[in-house]
Amino acid sequence: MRRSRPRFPSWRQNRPQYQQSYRPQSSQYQQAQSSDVFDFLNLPESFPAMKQLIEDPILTPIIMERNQQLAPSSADNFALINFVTCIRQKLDALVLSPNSFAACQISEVRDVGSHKHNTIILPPMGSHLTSDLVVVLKTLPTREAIDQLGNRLKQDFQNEIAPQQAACKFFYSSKEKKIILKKVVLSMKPTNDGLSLDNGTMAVHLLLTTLPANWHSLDPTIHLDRAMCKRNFNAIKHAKWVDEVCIHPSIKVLVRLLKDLRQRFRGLEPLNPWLINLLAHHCVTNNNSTEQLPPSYAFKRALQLLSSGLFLPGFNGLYDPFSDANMHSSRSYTTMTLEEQDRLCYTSQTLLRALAIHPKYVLGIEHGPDIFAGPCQLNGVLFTPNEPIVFDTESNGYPINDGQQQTMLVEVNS
Amino acid sequence: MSTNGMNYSMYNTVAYPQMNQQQQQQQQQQQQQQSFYGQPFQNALSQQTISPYGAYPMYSSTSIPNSAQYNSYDHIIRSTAETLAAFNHSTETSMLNNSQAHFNRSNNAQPSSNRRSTKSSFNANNATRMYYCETCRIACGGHATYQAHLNGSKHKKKELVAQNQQSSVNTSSKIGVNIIRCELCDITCTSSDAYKAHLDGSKHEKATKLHRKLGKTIPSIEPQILNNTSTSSQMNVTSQTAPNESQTMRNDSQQIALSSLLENNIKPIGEEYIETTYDNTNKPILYNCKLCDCKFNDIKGKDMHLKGKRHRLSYKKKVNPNFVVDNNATNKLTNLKPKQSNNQQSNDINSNTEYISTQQMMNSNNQSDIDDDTRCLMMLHQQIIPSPTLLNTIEQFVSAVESALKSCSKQLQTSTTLLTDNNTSVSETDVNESPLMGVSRVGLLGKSLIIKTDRLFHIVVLCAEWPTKKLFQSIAAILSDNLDDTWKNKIQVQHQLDQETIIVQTNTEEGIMYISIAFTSLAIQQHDKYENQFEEFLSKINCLNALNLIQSTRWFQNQASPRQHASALVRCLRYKTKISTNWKSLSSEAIEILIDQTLSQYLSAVNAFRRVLEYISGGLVLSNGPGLCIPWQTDSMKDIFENLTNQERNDTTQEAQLGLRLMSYGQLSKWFEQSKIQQLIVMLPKRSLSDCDDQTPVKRQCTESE
Repeated sequence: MRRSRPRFPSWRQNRPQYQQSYRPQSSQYQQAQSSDVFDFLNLPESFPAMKQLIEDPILTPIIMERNQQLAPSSADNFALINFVTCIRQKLDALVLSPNSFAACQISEVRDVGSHKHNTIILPPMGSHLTSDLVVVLKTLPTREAIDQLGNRLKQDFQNEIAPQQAACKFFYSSKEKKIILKKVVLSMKPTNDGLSLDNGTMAVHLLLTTLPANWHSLDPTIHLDRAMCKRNFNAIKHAKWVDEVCIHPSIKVLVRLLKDLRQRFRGLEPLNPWLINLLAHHCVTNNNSTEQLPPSYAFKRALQLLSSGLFLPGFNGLYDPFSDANMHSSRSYTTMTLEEQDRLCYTSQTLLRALAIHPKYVLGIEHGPDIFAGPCQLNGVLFTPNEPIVFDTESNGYPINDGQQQTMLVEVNS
Repeated sequence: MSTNGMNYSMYNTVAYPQMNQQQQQQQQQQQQQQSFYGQPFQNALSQQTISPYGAYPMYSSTSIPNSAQYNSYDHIIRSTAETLAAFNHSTETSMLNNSQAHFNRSNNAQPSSNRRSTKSSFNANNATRMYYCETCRIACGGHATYQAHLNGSKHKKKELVAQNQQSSVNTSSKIGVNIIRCELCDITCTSSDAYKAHLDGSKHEKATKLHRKLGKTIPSIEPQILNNTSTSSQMNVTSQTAPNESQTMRNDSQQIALSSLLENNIKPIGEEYIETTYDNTNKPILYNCKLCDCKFNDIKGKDMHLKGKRHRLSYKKKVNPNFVVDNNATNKLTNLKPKQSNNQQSNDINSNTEYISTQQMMNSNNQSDIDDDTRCLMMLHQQIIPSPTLLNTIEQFVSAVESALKSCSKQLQTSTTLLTDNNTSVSETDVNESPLMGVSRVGLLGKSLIIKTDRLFHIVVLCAEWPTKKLFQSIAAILSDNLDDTWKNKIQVQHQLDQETIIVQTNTEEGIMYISIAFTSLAIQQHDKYENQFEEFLSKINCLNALNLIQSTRWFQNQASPRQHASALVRCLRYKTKISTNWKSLSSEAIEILIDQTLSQYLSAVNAFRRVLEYISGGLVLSNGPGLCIPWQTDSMKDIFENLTNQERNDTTQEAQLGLRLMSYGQLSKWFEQSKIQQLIVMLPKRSLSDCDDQTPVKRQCTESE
C-alpha cells in the first residue's frame, strides 16, 4: 500500500522542526540524528592498519571447516529437491487446471529461501530441513481455503505414493545399502503464514499470499493477516534480489555462518534471514575497492558493525532496496522493537569479544562454557557477557508497522 | 609565583649557548636538536595558556558558576607568560620596539625641517673635508667641485622644486599616488614594494653610508605616510596640481595603497625562526621558516612571509600565545562566520534555531534528545574540572620543583667544572655546561587535561647527554636543598631506583600531591655510541618512555588541543577511566588520539564522543583488531595498545559497548555513575526476564571467587 505523497517536496527535506510534526514519533529513544555507523573499512586513512586485516590466518581455516560442517549432505539435499519438486508438480497441476479445485485459485508458485539460494544449513537437532514455496492465490486466502489446499495436496501426494515411494526406496537403498520400508506419510499442518507439509524427514513450507490487488479487502478475522500476505509477497522480491546480487561464494559462506550463529545464540533472533542476506552482502561487497572480501574478514566485519550499533536507534542501519520508500527512511531495522535492537546489539558485542579470545568457540567448532549464562573463564580470560539495558516492560509498545517490509522469518524456524 | 616563572625562563636561556655549541659540533643533527630545544622552551611559554578551562564554549555558555575563576586562573598564567617574555632578551618584539624608540628619539632631536635648507655644510671634525649639498644630497670632494655643482643647472632646478615644496609641503608630494617617501634620499615610492626595493638598493645604501660618514642623523627607515587623510579639500588641491590624473583612478589607487600600507605597518615577527642557508660565497640562498615549515629563495619573499598572517598565526600558536594577530579586512569576513556559529552553538543550545539545524545537516525529529547527551557531558565536565584553588596549588607546587631543578642545574654546572679537573672522562664534549638542558611538563600538566582526582603529575628533565645513575642520584640528593624556603619543609623527595624517577611529594590542603621527575636525553636516539658502557646509565626504556611523553605532549598541544571541545571530551573520558575498573587500562594517550581522529571528521562534540565509543565497541582494542598507531612516532609503527593483556582489552571493549548502548538509549548519565557494577548486580533480580534471576547467584559467586 502506498502512503500518501509527502507533504513537502524533496528539496525541503531538511525542514525546520515545527514543520516535521506529521512524522510519526516512533519512540522516545529514537534519536533525531542518525548517522552511519563506524566502519573500519570505510575510513582506512584514519586508522592505518597495524596488522594485516584482510587475510586472517587463524580465522580462515576455522571458517572453512565450519562451512563444511554446516552444509547438509548431498543425499539430504537431493531428497529435499525431490520432495519440493513433487509438491511443486501438484501445485502446478492446480495452476494449470483451476477448475479441478474449487476452494481457491492459484496464480503462481515460486521458490524462495535458503534452499533456493544454496545457503541452507543443517537445522538444529529435532527439526527438519525445510524448503519454502510462495503460493500466490488469485482468490482471498481464507483459513478454510488454505486448509483445503493442504488437504488436496496431501491427497494428491497419497495417490501418487507408490511410484514416489519406490523412487525413495531405490534412492536410499543405493546410498545406504539397506532397504527402507517405512511408509512415507505426508502430514499437513497450518501455520501463521500458510502451510507446512512434512514427510517425516524434511518439510516444505507453503507461504500463502494473494495478489496485491486483493490486499485491501483482507479481513484479519477470516483471512490471513495482511501483514503476513505482504511479507510473503515481498519474499518473492527478496529472493529475486538475492539471486541476482548475492552470487559471490564469500557471501554465501557468510550467510551460512550468520545463520548458524543465529541458531546457536538466542540473542541474534531479531536478525531475520532477509537482514542476514543484506548484512552479508554489505559486509562482503560494500568496501572501497571493487573486490569482494574474504569470509574471514567479512564475518568479523559483520560482528563489528553490529557491535558498533548498526541497528541501534540513532544509526542509519542498512539500506533496504525494497522497503516502503515513503516510510521512515528505507532502513531495514525498523521492524525490531527497542528490546530486540538492544538484544541484537549486546549479543553481537559479546560475541565479538569472544571471537577475539576464542574464535573456535564462537564459530561452533569447539564447545565451551555458555558465555551468555554469566561470567566464565574463556581461554584464561574472565569473560562477562554484556547486560541488557532495555527490557520488554520498559519499551512502550513499539508498534510493528504494517507498512514495513518483513521477511522469510519461517525459513529457519520450523 | 611570578618569580618562579622568571627563574624558569632564565634557566631556559642558560641553555641557549650550550645548544649552539652543540650545533657547531654536530652539524648533522642541527635541525633536529634545535627543534627539540625549542620544544621545552615553547612548552614553558605555551603550556599554561594553551587550554583555559573555560575554552569549551558549549560548557561556558551555560554559565558555569566558576568560569570566571577559570579565567582568573588563566589570567595568572598569562601574567607569568608575559613576565617570561619580558625576561627573554631574545624576543624580537622588544628588540624592535627598542630600535623604534631609538629612531624616534633621533627624529625628534633633529627635526626633518633642516633638510629643506639649501645651505651646504660639512663636517669639520672629519679629516678629509667634504662638501655636501643638502638639496641634491650630493657630496663633493673639494670646494671647487662644490661651487661648480651649486652653479650647475641641475642644482638650480632642484632648488626651485624644493622652494615650491616648501610652499605646499604635503600636497605637492601627493602628486599622483606617491605616498611613501624615503626621508634620507628624498625619494617617493608608489608602493611599499617599491619602497622596500629602494631601501635594499645601492643608492639608499650609499646615501646611508655618506650620512654616517658625515655624522648626520639618519632618518627612520619607517616609511613616511604622506597622505593618510583624504578629505575633499585636499583632493581638490591634488587634482589641481595634477590635472592629468583622473579623479576616479586616483581614488582607487589611493585605497589600494592605503590597504597595502596597512600591511606594511605590520612588523615582521619571529625572525629568529628563519634558518638561512649560505652558499660558498657566503650569500644567502635559502630561507627556511621553521615555524611554518616553508622555504624562500629570496629575502623579499621571506620578509613578506614574516609579515603574513599564516606566519603570525603559527607564531601565536607555537611561540607566544598572547601575541595578537590582526585579521585583515578581507579575512575578517570569512573569520566572522565560524565565530558566529560557535557563539550560536554555545548560546542557543536549547533553542532549536534554524541555523543549528542547517549547520548540523541533520533532519532531526527532536533536538532535545541530542541535547540530553550534550547536557550530560556538560554537567560531567563541570563536575570534573579542577577547582581554581587546586589548580593554583598545583601550579605553585610544580613551579617550586621546577625552580629547584633549575638551581640544581646551576649547582651541578659549578661542580662539573671542579670534577673535570680531577676526572676528565666525566664530560668531554661540553666542559663548562650544566648536564641539564631543560625541564618539560608532560602528560596532564603539559596537556592541561587535569581533572579533579588527579594528584600525580609528571615532568621530564632533558639532559645534554644520556643521564647517568650518578647524575640521577646526585640530583635526588641535592634537590631538596634547592627548594624554596617556603616549600622546603613541606616537600619530601624520594627516588625510585627501579623506575629511575624522583618522586616529590607534598601535603597541601587539596591532599597529598606527587610529582614524578623522569630523566631523558635526545642523545638516546643515536644509541650505538653508548652501548659499551651500559651499566652506569639509566635504562634505555625509561629514557625512551620519557622522551615519548614529551613528544606526545607536544603533539597534543599542536594537533589536538586546538580542536574545539577536544580537551573537554578527553577529560570526560579520562574521568571514566578513573571511576571504572574496566577502563583503567585505557591510557590517556589513546583517548587523545581517538578524540583527535573523530574531531577531525565531525564537528559536533556529542557525535565525536559517540564515535569514540563506536571505535572501541567495534573491537579496536581487541587483540584481533586493527590497532592504533601513534601519530607522533612516525618512524616506528607501534601499536598503542601493545602492552595490554587480553583481559584488559576485553574489559575495555565491554565497557565501551555498554556505554554505546546506554548512549543510544539516552541513558548516558548512567555510564558515568561511579558504582556502576554494583548497581547492575543489585538491579538484576528486579528484572522482568525470568532467566536473569537464575544467573545472578552464579554471577555473584564468580565475582566473589575472583
